Formats: sequence, C-alpha cells, structure tokens
Amino acid sequence: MKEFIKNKTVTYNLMSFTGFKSLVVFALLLEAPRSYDEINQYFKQHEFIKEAVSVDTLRVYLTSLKMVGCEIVRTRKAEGGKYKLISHPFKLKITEEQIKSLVKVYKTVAKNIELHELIILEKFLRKIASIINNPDLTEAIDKMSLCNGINLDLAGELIRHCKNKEQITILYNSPKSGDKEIEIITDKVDFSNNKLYLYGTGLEYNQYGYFPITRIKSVLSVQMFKQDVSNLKTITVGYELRINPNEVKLTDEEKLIDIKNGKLLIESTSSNPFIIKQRVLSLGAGCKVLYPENFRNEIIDTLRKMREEYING
Amino acid sequence: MARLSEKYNDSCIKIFKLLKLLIEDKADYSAVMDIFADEAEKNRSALPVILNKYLNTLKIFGVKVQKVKNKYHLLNIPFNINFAADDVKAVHILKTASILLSSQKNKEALNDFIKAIEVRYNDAAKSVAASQNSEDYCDLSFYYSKFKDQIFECEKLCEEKKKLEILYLSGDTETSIICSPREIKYQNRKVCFCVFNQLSRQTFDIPIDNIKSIKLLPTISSSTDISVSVVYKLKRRLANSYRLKENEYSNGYDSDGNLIVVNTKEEPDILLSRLIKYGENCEILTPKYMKDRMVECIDKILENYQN
Repeated sequence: MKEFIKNKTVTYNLMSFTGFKSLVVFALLLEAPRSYDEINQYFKQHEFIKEAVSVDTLRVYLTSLKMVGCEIVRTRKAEGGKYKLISHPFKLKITEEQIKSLVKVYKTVAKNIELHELIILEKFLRKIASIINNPDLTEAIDKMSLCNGINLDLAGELIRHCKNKEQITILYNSPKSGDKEIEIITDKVDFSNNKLYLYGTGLEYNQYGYFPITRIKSVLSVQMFKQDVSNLKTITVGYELRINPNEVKLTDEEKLIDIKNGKLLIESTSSNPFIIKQRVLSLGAGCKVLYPENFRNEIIDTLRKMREEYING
Repeated sequence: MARLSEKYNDSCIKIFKLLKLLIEDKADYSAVMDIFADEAEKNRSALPVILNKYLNTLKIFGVKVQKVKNKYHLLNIPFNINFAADDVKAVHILKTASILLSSQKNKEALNDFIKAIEVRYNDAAKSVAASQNSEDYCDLSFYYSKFKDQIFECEKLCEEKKKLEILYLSGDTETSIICSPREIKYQNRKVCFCVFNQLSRQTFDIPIDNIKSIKLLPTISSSTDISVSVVYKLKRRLANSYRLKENEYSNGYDSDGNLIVVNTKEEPDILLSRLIKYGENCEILTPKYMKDRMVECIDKILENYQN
C-alpha cells in the first residue's frame, strides 16, 4: 500500500481497480451529468487511473451502479447525451422516528436558546429538509417552527445591527400607510407572544417601539453616525407585584427596587408609555400601579371602559 | 448470454455493497464477510486478504474506515455535504439537547441522525467541530438537575395516555383537575405538563414544580380531544394591524370594521393575559365563561385601586 501511494502506480493485487473506477464514475455523476467523453477525459488525467475506458466498459460500470440502487438516465442528444444520476442509495435519509425526535428536541430548546442560535438551528433544519427532499420533514418543521414566515437572513441581519445598537433605515410595510421608510436606533430582536419583533427607538416620533419582523421588507441603509437619543423624554412607572420572585421575568425596561411583605416593587422606564401600559395590564390582578398618578388613572380608566363594553356591549 | 447493457461487474457491486453497509452503520464482521464469501468458497482463509483489497480501494478513494471490536465504522464519506460553521453549531445544539430526551428510543434515533450528518462533514466542518467547546451553547443542565424525575414521569404518562387527576398549585390555592396528558412544554426556563380538560375543553400548561400529586384513572384518554374555540373582536387600529397567530383564523370584519378572530388551542390563562393587554381594543365574544373570566379579571384588578 505504501508503495502504491508513494509511486502513484497501480498495483492490482492491493486493490479492486474496477471497484475504484466505478467509485470515481459515481463521484463524477454526483457532481453533475457527464458524457462518455467527459468521463474519459477525467480518467486520463486521474493520477492513478491514467487511461480511458471503452464505452462498453463504462456501460458495465453504469449497469453495476444501477444494480446497487442508483437511478441513472441518459439525457437527450440535444442536451449532450450525458449520463445523469437521478437518485442513489447513499443519500442522507431521515426516518419517521428521527423526525419525531427532532421535533421533540426542537420544542425543548426553542424557547431556551439565544435567538441567533434558534435562527442557526432553523436554517440548518431547512437545509437538511431541502437536501433530503422529504415532505414529512418539511411539514414537521413548518408546524413546529417559531420562525415561520420570517425571512431568517433578514432576522439574522437585524440581530447583528442590534448587537452594535446601530442606526438603520428599514423598509416597513405599514398596515396603515403601506411601504414606508423608518429610521430606527436598533436595540434588540425578541419574541413576544410567539411573534418576532425588532425593538428600538424610532426617530420619527423619538420614541421606543417595536415592529413585527414579518412586516419589515429590508434594511435600506446603515448610518455611520448615531443620533444622540440620551435626552429622550421618558416616563418611569412604579408598581407592586404579588408574584413568586422566581416566576417573574423582568423586561429590559424593568428594575427591581425592593421586596416587601412578599410584594415586589418594580420600576419601569421607557419613552413609550404604551409598552408599560400593555405590560401592566398583562400582569393582571397581581399588579398594582403606584405612581405616577396620571398613569395610574389611565390604567383604571382603561379597565373601566373595558368592563363597560363587556357589561353593556 | 447477457446483453451488453445487462452486463455488470462483480467488483463494482461488492465495493458499493460494502460502502452501503458502512453508511448504514451495519458493517459488522459477518455481514461484511457475506459480501465476499463467494470469492473464498474454496479457501476461507483468503477472506481477510480479499476484504483488505476492498478496504484498500475505499481508502485510496478517500474513505476512512475504523474497526472497533467486531464492527467496521465509517469515519467519513467522500461524497460529503457542504456544511458551514453555523450548521456545525446547529448540530452541536441538537447534540447538547439530546440529553433532555427521556425516551431512549428518541435519544437513539436523534443520535443516529446526528451521526449520519457528522460522517458527511467536509474538512472545514470537521475542523469547526473539533474546536467546538461543549459549553459554548445552550446550557440546559438545569432541567436535568431540577426536574429530571418529574419530566420522565410525565413523559411516561403521555405515552400511556391514561386519564389523570392532577392536584396542583395555582397561585396560592390547590386545584384539582381531571385531564388527558398531552405533552411536556419547555418555555423560558419553565417546564410545563400540558394537559387537556374534557369538561371545559381547554388545554392547561401546569408548571411541573407546581404539581402536588398525579392519580392515574382507569380510563384511556380519547384521541379526539377537540378544544373549544375562543372568538374575540379587535377594534380600531388593532383591527388593521393585527397578524393572526398560527392557531387562529379570522371570519373577516364586522359592519363596524372590527376584526373577528377565532382562536383555538391557546392556553386560557395565556390567552387572557394577552388579550387584556390590548385594553379597550379587544373584546371576547364567546364562549361565555371566557367572557366571564375576563370580567372577573378586570374586576379583580380594579379592586386593587379601591382603597
């Protein structure tokens, strides 16, 4: 063997030379359809083979490949009369049991890994589904995916911009006014109610906000210099939460100030009171706004209006 | 005499049969020898030499094979797939998470799939995999240390499909529910036992650490548990900007321009907490008990502000 490798001359006793040539033919067809001439050309230049084969010998190799499960057809003369490998038994396959396990493991990790990791995982699974060409796998991914309908490349790009808190201009499909350019200092990409949003400070209203990624068409530009938004008008709302401290997951706007008599005192600061209002309402009866007075009154007013709609509506 | 087009070469077939066995990870010594048995009919002692000839052929072609105990294993496939560094990371995430699968069958199936991927790594992917640190991604160990036994127990109950009576803590009060097991849900560092209550036709996600006891009932769960649908309307701006979730569909707009949404399968507590945050822009229409729950919730919050 060593001698063979060293001299690059073929010693038939040490190997199946015919088997080797059939492996080479298979590898060539795997890359692209090949004509008899192209295969022979490759054979002649191959460091070990160095010789052509007759068309009859090539046919014997192809018949052997077919016998082990390869499907090979010959293209029409107009297309060069090339041998084309349609399928073969060495392809990556996936069983029903493996799909089930993948779904299980995806569901386990999807909400516990970083978003960029989730995108990596999604892209990989979709790549495998396209290689394997298995409709069951594609259907399973579509069904379990948290990123369904999301342009994964765009989401990845937005995550990168958020990392450096860059100021970008996005093309946004607004439900009210159609396509619209929005300039935003990016903050984070995150899920809320299983939907993916881009969070950041919108420069049109100088307010923190969020945009569903499914409505973002593209990133039009990235600004070299960021606008200073440090003097943005913000509101700080204080509220107490009656909840097990281990069960509460504070948002980026929230800060734990104190824990007294089993109640958590939270302060939330944002340039967008609407975000705090939604958060407070979603916390239900376990949450009571303490200050400021006008925000507290707004919450009470909203709840009264809601009640009225249910009772009288 | 065979026609030329029907002529095949025995060595070609044998080399591919060997390769197939290796790819399927079924190449134990006897299976491999069966391929070449006819060549050594008269002299069995020649078998290892013949086998070597074919293994050498694969080696020269670039296929690496390793024999461990009585089995040959493939270390690479020459027809590899172009995997990028991110693909290798994804495989690493799957590998790390595979320890969470409680069923041995699931675990083996996933590991076999991962093995089939790894064997197709190109050189670049191999080098990324070699430099991968096992702690680089998703630390899921907390599940294992904290809830291992409970998760295994609930997984078993899901497989058995028997009706259950679960006693659990809901807030500060102990609650009992008769239900059918559905699945285990992992969300934001919380593990929930997802069950279906036939009486209310609702799905409940019970945090595993809130479960006090589970009693097995003798009846088997029905396979056709149909969840009750919750219909709500969205008003004003939200009616135009709302994007339906996966478990929702819309019956269009009513005469006042409100969007009518039909929601199925969403856990009632989660749905209520989501809808209440839409404020006066959302109103539950049916079923009545969900409307009542919403009003009850609003009243409870308003009680907070009465003093």
